[in-house]
Amino acid sequence: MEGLSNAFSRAASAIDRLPLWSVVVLYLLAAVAWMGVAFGSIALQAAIQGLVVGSIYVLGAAGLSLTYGIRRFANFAHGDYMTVGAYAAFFIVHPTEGLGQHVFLGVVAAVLTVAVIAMLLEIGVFRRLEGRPTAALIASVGIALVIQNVISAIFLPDVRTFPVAVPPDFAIGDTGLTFNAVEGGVTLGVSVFFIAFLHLMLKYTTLGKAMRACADDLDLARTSGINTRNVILWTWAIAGAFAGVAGVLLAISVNVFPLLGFFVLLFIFAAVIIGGIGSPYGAMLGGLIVGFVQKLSNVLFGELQQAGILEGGSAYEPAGAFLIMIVVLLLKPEGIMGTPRPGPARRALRLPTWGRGGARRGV
Amino acid sequence: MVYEYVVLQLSTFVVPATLLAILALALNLQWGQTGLFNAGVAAFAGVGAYVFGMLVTGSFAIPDLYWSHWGPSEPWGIVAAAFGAMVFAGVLGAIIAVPTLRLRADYLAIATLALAEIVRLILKNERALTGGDQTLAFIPRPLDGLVPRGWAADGVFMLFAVGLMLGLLLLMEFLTRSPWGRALKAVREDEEAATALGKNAFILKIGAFSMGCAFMGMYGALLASFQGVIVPDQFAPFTTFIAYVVVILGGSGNPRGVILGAYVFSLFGWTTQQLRAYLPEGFALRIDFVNQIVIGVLLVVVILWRPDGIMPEPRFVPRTASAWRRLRLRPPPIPFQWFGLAVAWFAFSGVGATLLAVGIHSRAAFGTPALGTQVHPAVLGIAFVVALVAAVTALGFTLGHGWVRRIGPAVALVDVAVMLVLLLQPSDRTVSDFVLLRLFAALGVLYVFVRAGVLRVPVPWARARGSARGGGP
Repeated sequence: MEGLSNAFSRAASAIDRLPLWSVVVLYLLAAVAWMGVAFGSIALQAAIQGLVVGSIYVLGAAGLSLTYGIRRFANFAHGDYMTVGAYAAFFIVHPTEGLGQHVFLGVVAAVLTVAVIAMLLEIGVFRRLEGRPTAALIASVGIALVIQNVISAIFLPDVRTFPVAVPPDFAIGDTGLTFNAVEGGVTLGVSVFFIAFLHLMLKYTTLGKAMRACADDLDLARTSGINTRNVILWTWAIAGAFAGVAGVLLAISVNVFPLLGFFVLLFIFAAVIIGGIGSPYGAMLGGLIVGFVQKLSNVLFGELQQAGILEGGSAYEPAGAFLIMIVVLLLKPEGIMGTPRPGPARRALRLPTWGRGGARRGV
Repeated sequence: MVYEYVVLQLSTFVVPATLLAILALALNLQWGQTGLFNAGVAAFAGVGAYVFGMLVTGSFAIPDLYWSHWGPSEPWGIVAAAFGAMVFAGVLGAIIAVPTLRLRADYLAIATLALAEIVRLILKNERALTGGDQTLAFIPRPLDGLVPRGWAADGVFMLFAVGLMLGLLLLMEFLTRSPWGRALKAVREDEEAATALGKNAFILKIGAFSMGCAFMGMYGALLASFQGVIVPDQFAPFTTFIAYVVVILGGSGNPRGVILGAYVFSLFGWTTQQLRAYLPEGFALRIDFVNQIVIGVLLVVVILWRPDGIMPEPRFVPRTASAWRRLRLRPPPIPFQWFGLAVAWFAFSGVGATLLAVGIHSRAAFGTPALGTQVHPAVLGIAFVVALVAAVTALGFTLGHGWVRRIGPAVALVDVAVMLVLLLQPSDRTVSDFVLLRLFAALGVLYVFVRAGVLRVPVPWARARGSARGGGP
C-alpha cells in the first residue's frame, strides 16, 4: 500500500516537473489517438482538418496576443482586420472584379493594407484611450462594425470564391485519408514560415526585445529609454500583417464575405485565452488546440446526433471550442503559458491540486 | 381615417424604440450601474423570447411540415408566461454569473459572448424544443381578442410598452437612490474599497446581473409578443452591440439618459428606413450598411470625446430616505420599496391598455371583435377608473405627497375588491390575464401601505414605531 502511494506520488511529481504546455500537447495527442480508435478514420481526417484550421488561428491569435500584451485590451476588430486582408487580396487577384495580378502580390497587398490600417487606428483611436482598457474594448467593437459595413457597402454582402485554382484532394496511401496541397499544405507552410519569423524576431532583434519589454512592463520600458510609442506602432503593424495573411489563407480555404473574420474572432479569442493572454507562444499552442478541438468536436457531436441525444449534431462544432475556452477561463484564467498577474484576474473556481500544491508546501 | 394612419406610423417608430429602451435599461443596470460587461445580452433576450413563446402557445406540432416545438399541454396566460420567461432568464443569468463574474471585464465579455453563441446554436438546432429555423409563431399579444388586429392592436401595444418602460424607468431611478443601488455603484468604482467597508461585492454583482437578465428576458417576451413570430438569428451578437451603443450614447448609469439614447438612436434608424423609398437604387441597397457605419463611428466618437454620453450620470443623487422623511413616514425595508415601485409600474401599464380596450369595445366600430367575454363594459370602465387612481396614488406614495396617506389605503382596498369581483366573472383567458395582472398590482399597493404603517392592520410583522430600525435598547 505504502509502495503504491509512493509510486503514485513519484509519478505525479514527474508530471509536475514537465512544463505545462508539453503535458497539454500529450493530452491533445492522446485525445486524437483515442478518437481515432473510437471513431475510425473520420476522426483522423478531422484531426488533419483541425491542424490546418488551427494553423490559420495560430496566425490570428499570435497577432492578437501581441497587441493584447502591450495594450491590455481585447481587440474585437482583429477578426475584421483579417477580412480586410482577404478583400485586399481579392481585389488585387480577381481577374474581372479586380486587377488580375498574381496571388503573391495579393498577399503583399493584404499585409501592407492591414498593417497600415492597424497603425492608423492605433494613432487615431487606441492611443487616445491608453489606461482605459474597457473604453478601448468598446471602441474596438465600434471599429469592427465600421469595417464590416464599409466592406459590405463597397463589395455588397455576397459570398464570393477566392480566385485561386485549388487542386483536388489527394489520398494519403490507402488509409482513406485525404489532404489538399493548397488548402492544407500551403496554409501549413505559410503559417510555419510566419511563426518562425515571429520567433526569430522576438528572440534576436532589438525590436523584438523591446516588444517583449513593453509587454512585460510598459512604464519600466519607457523609463529605460525605449521609445514605446514606436514599438507599439510596430507591434500593431506586425499584428496587422499576420491578420492579413491569416485572412488570405482563410479566404482560400473558405470563401470571401464581409463577416468572414468576425465568425472566426471568437475562435481566435479562445486560442489566445487558452494559450495565455499576452504570450505569443501560448497563442500558437492555443490556436492548434482550438483547431483540433473544433474539428474533433464536430465528430463527437455528430456521434451524439446519431445516438439521438442532440438534434443539431455537427452544427454545434463551435460550441466545443467555446466550452474548452470557458473551462480554461474558470479554472486557469492566466492560460497555459501565461503568467498569473496580481489583481482582480483571480481563478474563478478552486479545485484541489494534486501533487503540485503539496510539493510546493514541502519546499 | 387619418388617426388610424397616424397610430400605425407612430407605432412603427415608438414600439421598437421603446423595446430598445427597455433592453438598454436592463443593460444599464449591469453595465452602467455595476460595471459588469455582459456581452451576452442577445442570448438572454432570446431565451426570454423563446421561453415566453413556448409557454404561451403551448405544445405545437404540424407533423407534415416537420414544424413543431415543445410547450406545456395547456398554454399559459400571457402574464404568467411573461413572468415565467423573466424568472427563467434571471435564474439562467444567476447560474452563469456565479462562475464568470469573478473574471476581469474583458474575460467576462468574451466568456458571455461565447455562451451567447452557444445559446443561439441551441435555439437554432434543437428543433423539437424550439422549432429551430422553422420559427416559433402564433405568439399572442396582450388583450388579443378584445382588441381587433390592425391599428388598434398596434396602438394598445404601444401604450402597453410605453407604460412598461416608464415603470421600469421609475424602478431604475429608485434603485439608483436606494442603498442597494448605491452599493452597486461603490462596487463599480472600487470593488476592494466596497468590500473593505463590509459590502459583499459578489452577492451584489450576482443580484444586479440576474435582475438585468430578467429584464432582458422581459424585453424578449415583449418583442416576441409584438412580432408574433421569432427566429433564432434575431438574437445574434448585433443586438448586444446596439444595446451597448444606446447605453453609452445616452449616458451609462443614468436611466433617463439611456431612454433618451434609445429614442435618438431609433429615430436615426427609422428615418433612414423611411428615406429608402426616395433614394436611387444603388444607394438604397446600401443604406443599411451606411446606417451601421454611422453607428460604429458614433460609438467610437462618443467613447473618445464624450465618454459620459448625452446625459451624463449625475454626480450626486439624494437618498430615498429624504423623500420618506418629507412624508413623515417610516420607510419600509428596501425590498418592499422596490415592490411598491413595481406595483406602480404594473398599474400604469394596465391603465393605458384598459383605456384603449374600453374605448374600442364601446365604439364597436369594427363589428363585434372576437369577444369571448361576458364582462360588462361598465365594469371594465370602473376597473379602469380605479386602476388609474391606484396607479396615481401608488406613484404619489413612492414619490412623496402628503395627501396619499389618507386616500391611498382606501383606494387600494377598493381596487382589490373590484379586481376580485372581475376575476369571479366568467371570462376568456385574455381578460382574466389582464385582471390577474391588475390584482397583483392592487394587492401589492395594499401590501406596501401596510408595510409602511399607513394602513394599520394587526399583523405580526408590523412592529411598534419606536423600535422600528436602529432603535436598540
